Amino acid sequence: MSTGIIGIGVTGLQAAQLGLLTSEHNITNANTPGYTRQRTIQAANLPIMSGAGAIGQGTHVATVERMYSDFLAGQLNTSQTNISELDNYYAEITQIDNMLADTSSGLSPALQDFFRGVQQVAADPSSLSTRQSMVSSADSLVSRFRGIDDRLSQIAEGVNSQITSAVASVNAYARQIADLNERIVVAQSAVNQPPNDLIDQRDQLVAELNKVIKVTTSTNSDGSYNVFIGTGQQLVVGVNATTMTANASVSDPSRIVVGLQTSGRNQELPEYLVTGGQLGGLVRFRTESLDRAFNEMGRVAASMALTFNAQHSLGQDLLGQSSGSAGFMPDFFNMQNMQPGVIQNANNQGNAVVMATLVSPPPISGVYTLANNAGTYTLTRQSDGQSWSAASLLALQAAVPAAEGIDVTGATVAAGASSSVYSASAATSNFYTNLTTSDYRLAYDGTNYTLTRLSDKKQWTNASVAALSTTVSASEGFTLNVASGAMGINDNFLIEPTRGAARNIALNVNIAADPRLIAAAFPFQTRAAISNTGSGSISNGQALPGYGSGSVPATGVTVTYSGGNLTFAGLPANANLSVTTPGGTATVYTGPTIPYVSGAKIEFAGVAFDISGTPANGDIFSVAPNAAGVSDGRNALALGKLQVQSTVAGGTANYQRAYAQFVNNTGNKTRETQIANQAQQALLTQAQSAREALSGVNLDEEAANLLRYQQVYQAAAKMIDIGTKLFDSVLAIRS
Amino acid sequence: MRVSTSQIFDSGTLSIQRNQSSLFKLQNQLSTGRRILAPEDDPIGASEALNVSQSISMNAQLLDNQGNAANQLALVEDRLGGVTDLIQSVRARLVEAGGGTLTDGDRRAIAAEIRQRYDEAVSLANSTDGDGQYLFSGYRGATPPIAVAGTPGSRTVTYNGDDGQRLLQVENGRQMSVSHPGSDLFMGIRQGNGIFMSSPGAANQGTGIISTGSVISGFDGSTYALTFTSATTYDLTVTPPGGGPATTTPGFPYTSGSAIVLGPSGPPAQQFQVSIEGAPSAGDTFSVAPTTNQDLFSTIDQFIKALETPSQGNPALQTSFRNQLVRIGDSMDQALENVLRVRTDIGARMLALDSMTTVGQEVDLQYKSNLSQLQDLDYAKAITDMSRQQMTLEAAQISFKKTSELSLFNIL
Repeated sequence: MSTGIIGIGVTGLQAAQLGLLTSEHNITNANTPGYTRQRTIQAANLPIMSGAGAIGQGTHVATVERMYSDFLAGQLNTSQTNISELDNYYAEITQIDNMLADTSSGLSPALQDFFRGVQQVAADPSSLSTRQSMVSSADSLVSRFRGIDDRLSQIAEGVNSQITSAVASVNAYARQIADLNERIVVAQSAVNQPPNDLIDQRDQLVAELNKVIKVTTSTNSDGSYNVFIGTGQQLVVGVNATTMTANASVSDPSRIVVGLQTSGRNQELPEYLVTGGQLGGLVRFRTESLDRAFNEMGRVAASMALTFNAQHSLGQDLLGQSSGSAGFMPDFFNMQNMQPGVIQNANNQGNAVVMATLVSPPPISGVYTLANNAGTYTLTRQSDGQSWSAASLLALQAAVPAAEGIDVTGATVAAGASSSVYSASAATSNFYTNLTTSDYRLAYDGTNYTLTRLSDKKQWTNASVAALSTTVSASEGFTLNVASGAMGINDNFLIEPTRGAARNIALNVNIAADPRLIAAAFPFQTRAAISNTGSGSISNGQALPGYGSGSVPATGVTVTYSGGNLTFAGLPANANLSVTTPGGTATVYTGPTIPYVSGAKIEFAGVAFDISGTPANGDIFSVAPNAAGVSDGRNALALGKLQVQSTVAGGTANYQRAYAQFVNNTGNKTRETQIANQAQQALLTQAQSAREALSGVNLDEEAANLLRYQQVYQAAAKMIDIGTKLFDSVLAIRS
Repeated sequence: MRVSTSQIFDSGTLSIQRNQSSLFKLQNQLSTGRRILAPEDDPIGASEALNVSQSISMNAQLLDNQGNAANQLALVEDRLGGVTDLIQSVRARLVEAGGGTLTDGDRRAIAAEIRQRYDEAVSLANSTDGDGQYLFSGYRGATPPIAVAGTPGSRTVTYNGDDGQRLLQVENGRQMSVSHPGSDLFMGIRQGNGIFMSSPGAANQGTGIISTGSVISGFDGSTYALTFTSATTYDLTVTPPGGGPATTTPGFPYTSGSAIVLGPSGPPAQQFQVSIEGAPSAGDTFSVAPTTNQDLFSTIDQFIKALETPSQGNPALQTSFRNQLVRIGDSMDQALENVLRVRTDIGARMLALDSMTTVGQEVDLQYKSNLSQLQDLDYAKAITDMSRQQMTLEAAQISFKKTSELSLFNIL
């Protein structure tokens, strides 16, 4: 009986002791990351059956339990990986956001200063100092473009090095999880009890891993974890960890991408498989925001250089040189290094060298070329290369849509020659580019070449690169050609039309050295003869695409009014006169005599002007080379107007608006990330509270438990004391 | 709900951190005065602020250009004022010279003064602006527009400029010419009454003086020649424009000073009238022809030549002199009208510039207040926010202190 009493007391003592130990373990680990509260599970010992019934035999501790929920831990991990992704995304994008924050240091002020310089040249074209200050402001604009691009490049390099170090920590975690798997399996099979603290450690590693990349886990029957990334790519299986790699991408060596080392070779992971955590944030930031930032800046730079150059090339410099003169500098910006980047995939089998070129001169509306190729007449629209052909001009006119607003039936083009003709909009339109902010991929499947616009996956397919190039040049602003060699099956090329433009924009060195070469004037001027007695006047005139060295002969083109007609003399060969009456459409005449309409726009070979008023018979007007025209700032005015004209994105935005759009996009994306971050933070807090509510250590609770187990211990000790006393009383009876 | 001890600490620090970061942002806004610290604070506002700042900069440039244009035009206007004065003073001398009682010596004295005026006219036409650019040479700012050859009385003038108009962008979509080419100002000036020109034959012997004439219903562009067959009759020969067979009608009666109506009576009626005063001799001719153009300098030079030709005691030469004065007077009137036309035009441009500048300054204010609304901080609100945020932070700190102090272990 008394042994029973002492025995039961001892079970109580032991259980209370274990309880105290567990509580102390909890208290000491209250601040251990990932620690899960433990508690003892006590159970009654098997009773001894007797005639009096079942007599209890005290207690024992069945197990030490982790207060853990798979579901809650999973929720916490998901929230954690999401927030880590957003945190990293945010940390990167705020760098761009902050760069754009200061309105005085972005692109805007440099752009405004530059055009201010252009306007000043327009106001005083003969002054060398205004020309010099235009060159200086152009110089600071160029360095501002480069400065912004430099900063973006630094961010890109930062992303690369962060990916490399993140991959190193993924590998370290994976290795440790595999090690723990091994120890857990051994520990568990030895005593058939869960090794709680090892499991905690492993769960903590999975949680840490989730901060780097989103992983999913599954538990094997032996207690070990399998860890997967993406859509089930194995990272850890039991005791084996796969090595994750960070290498230069085969399609673009400047990008470090994540891969997995499988059976001895490196398998590049597509970016959509790298989600969650730091890596997910970095990769998503790079594709969504950073690439776009490069391209948006590049598009502004390329569009500006192309349109500015195109207008500049129509002018005449202070030395009197214009298109066709040996020393004339048609380009204000040096486009040599601004051409699209083409990156060959490292796995390509063929030897093709693919070149991409920006469409230059960029499109302008209202300008057409009428050609006669051995009796076939072709009218080509300059803005997109759209053309119509027919065997006669009458048939051609029938084929040209009325919306073009041009009547070519009266033209004359000699076989083998071509002539520039103009519709109503030519005199008021401006150059623009169709460049987008996307990169492209050119791939060959053995029969067809496919160009994919990466931003929206739009595709163009053709069996010939040349035909493909013609199609995309009208809508995407660049052309393609295979310079040498041939593409192998499944070869592909990454084409970056605008990425390098902001980095590589440069001034024409000759103009920078000699600002007299800025073409501020137009190469011709109009005159009304001093002997004219009528009230007719001729406008100042404007140079249009199609202007060349032979457009206005040295002796000039004279226009004589007589009896309601204008008669031209000295027109260059193959020139046709495009006449647009006010509010009307364009009619093309061969000349030399055309009906006079006051204010009608007359265009030939890139020369545009109008004559208005009431000329007297015999009045003479002329278009002559602009000799000694040092005070002419007409082209500088046209260049200055580019600032507000719609020159970017297919003629829908000006430079400033295209840049503002980039600022807006970045701001929006930053804000969006921040708001998502806040929402995710709330979820994380909830998930944390839920987990803590179950698994966290509460010191007050543990204090109470200490008291509880202390009292049980004391009571059990008392039981033993009583048992002893009972035994003593029995001994006393005997004596 | 069960709460773990570390949760108490974590959530305590988290709420304090949040409050601190809000406070930090407010403090930043207050210290910079900017509502938008980075585009993320208001992406649309940030990009709009960029666009508005471009508008401000462009508007400032346009205001500069307007000021520039106004200065240029004022300079041109000033020189044209000089030209007007000059023409008027020459015109006054012309009236004086026609007084009829002047001796050859008197006329030579006037000629000496007009020679000065000629030089003055040339120097006005070759005026330069502050940068040394010639004002009236069109695009050829480095070339003096007027070159003179020959000796006084038989000088020829060449215009070396061109017709270019120097343009400035004064408004979006509006370019304004801030110069006027000398070709239009000085060179291509109509003669006579601006439509036709009447003139006596060079070899006239009588004292007939033909008037300038005026249009009644039109002028058909023909050349009309009146040939006196006696002191009282003349023949009329009409040559249509561009040559062609001339028709001669003989025997018109002549009365001194009465209107001679010429031209087809219609329809369409294209009639005009001239008158001849004095006593023409038989064989004298007079003609009416479409106007031709002459430059201002040649007109002045002709005046000098006329003044310096002795005519004292020779009625034929005196008549010729008086006839010349009529022609020169007409030309001077045409030149004055021409300059006044240009001045009116320039005045209108300057007026337009004035109103543009007023509008531009108003627009500038609007843009600036717009920009301020977009990016400037509302201090009253920010300071209120700051106090509130401060209070919340203090509350968080105090409550955290209180909660974290509570522990069962303190009591045990």
